[in-house]
Amino acid sequence: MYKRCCRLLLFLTILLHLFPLTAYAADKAVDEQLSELDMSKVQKFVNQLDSEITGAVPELNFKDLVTKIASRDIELKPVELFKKCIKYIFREVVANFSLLGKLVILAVICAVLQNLSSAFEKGTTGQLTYMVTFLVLITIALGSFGLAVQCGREVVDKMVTFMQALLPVMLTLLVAVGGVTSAAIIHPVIFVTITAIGTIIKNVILPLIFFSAVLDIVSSLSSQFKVSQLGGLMKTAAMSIMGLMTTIFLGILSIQGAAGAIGDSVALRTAKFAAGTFIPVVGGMFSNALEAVIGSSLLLKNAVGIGGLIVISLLMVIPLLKIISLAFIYKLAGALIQPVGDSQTGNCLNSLGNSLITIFAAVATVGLMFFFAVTIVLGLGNLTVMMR
Amino acid sequence: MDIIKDLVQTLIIIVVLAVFLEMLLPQGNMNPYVKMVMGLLIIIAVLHAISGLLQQNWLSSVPDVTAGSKANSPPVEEIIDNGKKIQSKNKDLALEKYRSGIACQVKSMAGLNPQIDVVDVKVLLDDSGGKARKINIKSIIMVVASKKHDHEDEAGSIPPVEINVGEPERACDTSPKITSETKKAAKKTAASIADFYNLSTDKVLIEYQVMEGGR
Repeated sequence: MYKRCCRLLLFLTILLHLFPLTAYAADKAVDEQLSELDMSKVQKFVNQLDSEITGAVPELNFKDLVTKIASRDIELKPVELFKKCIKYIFREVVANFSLLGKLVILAVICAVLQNLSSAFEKGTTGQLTYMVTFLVLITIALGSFGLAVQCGREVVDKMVTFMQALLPVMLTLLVAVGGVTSAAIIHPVIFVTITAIGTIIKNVILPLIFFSAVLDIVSSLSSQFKVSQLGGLMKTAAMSIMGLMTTIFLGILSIQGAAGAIGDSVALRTAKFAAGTFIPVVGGMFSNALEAVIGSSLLLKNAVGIGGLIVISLLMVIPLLKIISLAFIYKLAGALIQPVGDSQTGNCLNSLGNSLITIFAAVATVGLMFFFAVTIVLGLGNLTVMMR
Repeated sequence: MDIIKDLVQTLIIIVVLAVFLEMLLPQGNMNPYVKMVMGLLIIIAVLHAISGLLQQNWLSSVPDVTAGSKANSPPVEEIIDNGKKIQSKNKDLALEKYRSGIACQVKSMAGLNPQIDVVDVKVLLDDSGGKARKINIKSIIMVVASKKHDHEDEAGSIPPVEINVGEPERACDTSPKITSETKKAAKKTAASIADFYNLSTDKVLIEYQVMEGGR
């Protein structure tokens, strides 16, 4: 009886000493590692964010954000966020009402002039006046369209810069959880592809969409000379390049990542086996302690990744809302003009709206690609630790 | 992109010119010819742009991408070094926790024996390092203190005190001694611990500590 009691007591003692150890180790390790990490580049970037974004999220400190995410101290209110987005769209639409007014008035003038052209002695006089008014309308529309394209380019630029600041931190933590091979394999691929994607989107895809919109407008100048097919070809080329790029980027990243993660996990499993088998039962204690500490690195890496995703969303959301509200304005102007004026003006404004939606899609795709890139790097660490 | 930009500019000029010609030319059967000429101009402009695109050296833009990426990203060696520093610190922390965990276990196991009082346990680990970092227990040192009842037993048999005047001063050992029973019990516990951790008995060492003031 005494022996049985002793055994039970012994077992309980060992259990009691095993579990608090891991939790304590993890808490301490997160703080230590956070102080070790160099997040100055990320913070520098966050500090340079637009006043519009910082106005929406007061005092955005990346390190604090990561700490809050790691300690599950952050409160995300999706309903509030959605309400704010809707409010922002309405504000943008109201701010663009002057543009809408200009477009509608000019379109009405165009329609009136076209109807009056028959009143002139020569039909061409009315046609010329109509043409001049139409050119003024196009100039105004293209001006704001160019601003939207520029806005899209800036967002892509900012996202690339942010990714270049965030990824070294994430890869450092990936190495800390044992993903040395993954980090070594993925480093050149991810940096080159991110820069390449940024460059291609800025210098090829967005200009192609812009040219396609310009050709659409030019086509609406005359019913005799149409170059809209060429514009369509440019748009198709832009979308095809983007689709191809997304597929290649995600494909390479996931295959390389998986290969690296499997290699790392095999190496780490050997280390764990060596430590765990030497002493039966209690020999696994070192592995448990190590796993708890590595778990803290993993937690921190995930928190940094989620923080990065939040910043990317913040970077994207306001310009995207601006572009979509502008697209709405063009579409609304086109819809208002259609019953009053000629089909040319309405179609022209409608095609401009469609091109803006394409720009919105291009910028959103870049954001989505970067989202996936961060998620894949996050998943690599999780896979490495999970397969140990 | 410059070629496409030039093409679009040329097309705009051609179309605007065509529209104005259409308006300025007198009404008649000239219009189809104008349309034909302008159409040919458009075809020439597009073919010119295509030939320009074919002659362009596409690879010339590739070094810019790689050079830009190298300039903006830290080298992989730096990232791996930083990561390995954190990894090493993690392992040291885990090792420390392992050591203290084993010490707590040994202390708890020794506490099951009421005949000895283990005040401290030191665990020495043999960290071989390397990729597979094999961790072995080098030795376990149990610090066993004299039990309170040992002092009480000894208090009952105080040796007679002799005072000799003129003799040099001698350090007098007034501290209580560890009894042979305690030593025997400590050895037995050490053997059990060695068995439990799969160690040879000589790796579990016992240090006796005699506490002052009966504590």
